[in-house]
Amino acid sequence: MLTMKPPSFTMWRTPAFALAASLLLCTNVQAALGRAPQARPADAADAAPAARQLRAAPVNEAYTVSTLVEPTGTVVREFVNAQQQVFAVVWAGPVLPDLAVFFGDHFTAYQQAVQQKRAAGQRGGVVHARKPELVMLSRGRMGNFEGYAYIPTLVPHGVDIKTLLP
Amino acid sequence: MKPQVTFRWFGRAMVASFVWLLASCGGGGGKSDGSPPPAVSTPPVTGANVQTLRVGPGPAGLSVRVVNLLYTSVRLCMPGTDTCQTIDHVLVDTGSTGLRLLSTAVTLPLPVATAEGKSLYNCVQFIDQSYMWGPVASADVYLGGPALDGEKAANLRIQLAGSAGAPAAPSVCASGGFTPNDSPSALGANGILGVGTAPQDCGIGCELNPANGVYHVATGGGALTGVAVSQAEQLQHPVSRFAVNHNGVLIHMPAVAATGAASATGAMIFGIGTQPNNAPGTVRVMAPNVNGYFTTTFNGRTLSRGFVDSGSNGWFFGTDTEPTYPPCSNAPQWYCPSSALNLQAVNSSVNGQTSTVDFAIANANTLFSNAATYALSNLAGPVGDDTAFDFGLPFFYGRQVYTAISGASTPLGTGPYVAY
Repeated sequence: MLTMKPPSFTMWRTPAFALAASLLLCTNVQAALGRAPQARPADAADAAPAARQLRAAPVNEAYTVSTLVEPTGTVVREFVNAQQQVFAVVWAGPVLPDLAVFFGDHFTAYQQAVQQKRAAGQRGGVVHARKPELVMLSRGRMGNFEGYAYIPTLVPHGVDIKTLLP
Repeated sequence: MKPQVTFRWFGRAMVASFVWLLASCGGGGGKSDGSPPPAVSTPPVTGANVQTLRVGPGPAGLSVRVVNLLYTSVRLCMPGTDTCQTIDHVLVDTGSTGLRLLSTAVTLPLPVATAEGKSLYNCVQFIDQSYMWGPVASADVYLGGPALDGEKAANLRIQLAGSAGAPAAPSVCASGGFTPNDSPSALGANGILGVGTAPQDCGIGCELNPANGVYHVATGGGALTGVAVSQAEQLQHPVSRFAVNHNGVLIHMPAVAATGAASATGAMIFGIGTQPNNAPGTVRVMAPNVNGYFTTTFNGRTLSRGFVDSGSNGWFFGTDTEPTYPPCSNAPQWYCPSSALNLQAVNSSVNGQTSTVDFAIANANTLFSNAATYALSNLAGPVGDDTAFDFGLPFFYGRQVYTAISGASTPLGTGPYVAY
């Protein structure tokens, strides 16, 4: 499965081969779905050890992928369209990333999904939402979380979003 | 250690899970119409390794109804003494590992654990963005037997969640608007007894990466820093620490009628094939893959993430697009088919075994309509994920479900596995 290869732990143990030579460092973490990605090459000058950033070559012409490896070992990937907007975010690792950071303005929709689940007395399962403005899913087992979120209207034409998700 | 090897180990160690959702209302209306549903129970089983379980109303302090929560009582004592207390309404969770108790329920002044000479704290996150956070403490924990004196986990490391005076949870634990499970109303219980397949709550990841986010030490002034904790010093599976009957658990719950029951009383029997009362009959053994799942074939689809979890309170499968079981209009977290449906799932394991699970689902609003009903065998909702099937507590009704601890030897093979 895409999300667990490489697993976050292995990634942490072996950053040399996981991240290869294109490792960048950054401090700017103020970006989110619908905005610019978490880190840009220009930020590399302000290096900070907390966030290791790989900016990958374009997978195809429609989008690029930014990968953030958190100190916990959790890996977050942001998919960026040609307009430099994050249209999808995917995560996997032992603890959840700070979804408020990655969801940005869409975090409220996520919280609503959580609250509605609580209000309905549901326990277990996953948190999910499928709305015109946001599709998201957060699942996992203790110590092994994964999930995704995307904005359907920002997905580049010709890209099958399902192929990007775990 | 090669990465692949490490990963396999890691994956097995992290099988534990429980995607925890906060307590809140019991779902739906709760008007009380009709006569009270009956209470059901399994035939009594006696033995030092038998622990009574019950689905029914929640603990004091929980003002709303949450159905299908499996409770038990835990007796804990100051280590090496007979100064003890019993805590009721502790949730039995085969999806996580370790005993976590609300600090407000614990009156004993338990000794707290340290690492590097500093107070040790533990975090666990659940998938709904809630968490439990608090100091690690040690207690002699007793389970089983007619007086909760049958089995002893001596000097067991447990978590005291929501302790007053503890440093605030670090952002890696509580970030992004996470909700603390620090009260009965938030948790729906006085604690969680995690009896999953993992022998510890974290495993090798916390031993090797101090920034893993799970274990922290206080460095003064409310400050915290991550700390590496050996597997032996992590929260342990309580059963794994018993002198005997320590290779896993058998949960035996009674069948519940289609319309539900006021309560369901069953048993957790410690050990697999270690005593006459836990000898497995003809069962299928579902071993998890490296990611902790088995494969489930359902509704013509092959789902790569099938799992059994007593901490989930329904059958959770499908998205919200199946016409025959649409989400309830008033609570789309549950299904509201117009009439009861008989369904079937086929599980297959990496060990080559397969099993068929026949079950039924019914209209959630109808099921919830009698406010005295707490055990609902036919309650289902969307998992929102067309790769997953969560066999929650309803799966346990009318079954004997074995959960083997990773690495433990049993007559059915070496854990981890779930067998039924």
